[in-house]
Amino acid sequence: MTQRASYLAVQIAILAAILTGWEIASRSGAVNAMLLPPFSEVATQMGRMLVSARFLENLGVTALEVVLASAIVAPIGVLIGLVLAESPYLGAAYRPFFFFLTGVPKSIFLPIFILIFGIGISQKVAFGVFQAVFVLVIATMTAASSVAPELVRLAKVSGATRWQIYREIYWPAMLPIVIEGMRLGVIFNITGVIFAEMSVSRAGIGALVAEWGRNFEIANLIGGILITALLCIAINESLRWYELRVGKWRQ
Amino acid sequence: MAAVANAPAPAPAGPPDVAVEHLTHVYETANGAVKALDDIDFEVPQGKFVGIVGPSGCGKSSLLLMLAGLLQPSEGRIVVREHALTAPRPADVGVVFQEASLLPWKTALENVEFPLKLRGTARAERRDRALELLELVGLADFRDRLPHELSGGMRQRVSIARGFSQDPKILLMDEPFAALDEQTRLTLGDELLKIWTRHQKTVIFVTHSLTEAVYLCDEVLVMSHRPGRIIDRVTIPLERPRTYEMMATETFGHLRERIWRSIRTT
Repeated sequence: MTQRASYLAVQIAILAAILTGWEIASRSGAVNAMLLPPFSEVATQMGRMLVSARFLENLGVTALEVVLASAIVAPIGVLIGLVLAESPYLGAAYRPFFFFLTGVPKSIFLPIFILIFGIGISQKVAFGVFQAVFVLVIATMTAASSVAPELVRLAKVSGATRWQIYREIYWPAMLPIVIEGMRLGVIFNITGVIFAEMSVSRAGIGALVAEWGRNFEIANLIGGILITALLCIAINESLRWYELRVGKWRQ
Repeated sequence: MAAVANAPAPAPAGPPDVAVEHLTHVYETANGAVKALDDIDFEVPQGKFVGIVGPSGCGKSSLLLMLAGLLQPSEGRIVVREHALTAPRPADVGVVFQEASLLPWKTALENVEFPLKLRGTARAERRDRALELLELVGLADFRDRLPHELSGGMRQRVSIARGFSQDPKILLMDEPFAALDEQTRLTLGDELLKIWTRHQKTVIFVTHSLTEAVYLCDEVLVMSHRPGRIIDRVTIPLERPRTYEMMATETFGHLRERIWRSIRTT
């Protein structure tokens, strides 16, 4: 516990040092204050943004797109993963495509999504789903193959029905890995949505940040980036907390 | 020595709990068919403690999987309590595996409860029964621990308690103490005998420890190297309850030696 506290102290000190260094560098003229305004100025701007209707509306659009994409991708990804893991024929036939596509940068497909879905919310959601689905399918396949055959055997001799084997063995054994896949999926999903917004869009945090960049509104730009980053960290960490909680037994 | 070993077994009371009839098992590999078991034939009377020993690769484990209903033999059949065995029958046959096989996300208590939960026993009742068994194996204080927080010996105790919680008529044990050190092995063997005396089950116990086989069993079946055949059946006339002192007796030594000789000549 004391060790953990001391790590935390070091981490806070590092963060404070970076922010102080940033402040000093900018105020002393060591870096161009036009490109990097002092931290205090950015922080003030962030405070203003958090109560600005325009910023919150755009943030809301992005959040809606991410939530919709997650709600679509979670069942689809898990289902495809389960089918590919459990059906020997479908698995052997289709698995390679998923592995190959995982290695291809999804961003290159964006123009196709624009042609099919236009530039509204549906395009962002579709692109978010496309970005996230592969990692979730692969995590689910990994999870299914990680289920120890001894435990399935044990359940059988203990009198488990097929349904009980799924509920009592497969579900708890797979859950931590599937949640991990979902966590990575959400990261890819957000990446996809924001990338799509930055390319062509009328709304969303990505569109807003891109606009600030083009207009050289540096304090807004950096503030927007920091707020988005903090939100993503919060989402990622809470999913990781859940992942560790359901996977406590994995040591 | 031979005179002692050939002492007749007491006549069984009713039909045997387990009858293995001319069991042969052949499995396919990349290099062709391999005969794992060859014409295995034996009976286990109700309430007896029967051991199976043999060199590694004699097909003991395949035989056990078949007795559990998890593997179908190529030829012959197994009759358990007068019905041919074609699938796992948890009410009749329970299994304690070599690697404790505890569900890692369940506590010791929940693991012992597991078979009862599967058959829909009420929560309070299964809890009471599981606690009683955990107490019997000396782990009542560890009921809320997860398997990775227990030692190897403790895990195997939980696994034994789980085998009994299912309350099968017949308990199959596949080298349950193989991964444990000598002292834990002896202690657990004694505890197993105590529970067995109290719950009167038919036990089929696979082991590669000859001492363990003689110490625990009423009869020991000796298997040959692949293809596994039964090459000797040794009745253990030592009285019960068994005590550590018996291990030092001449009879014990002779029995052990006879089994060893049978194995060596294969």
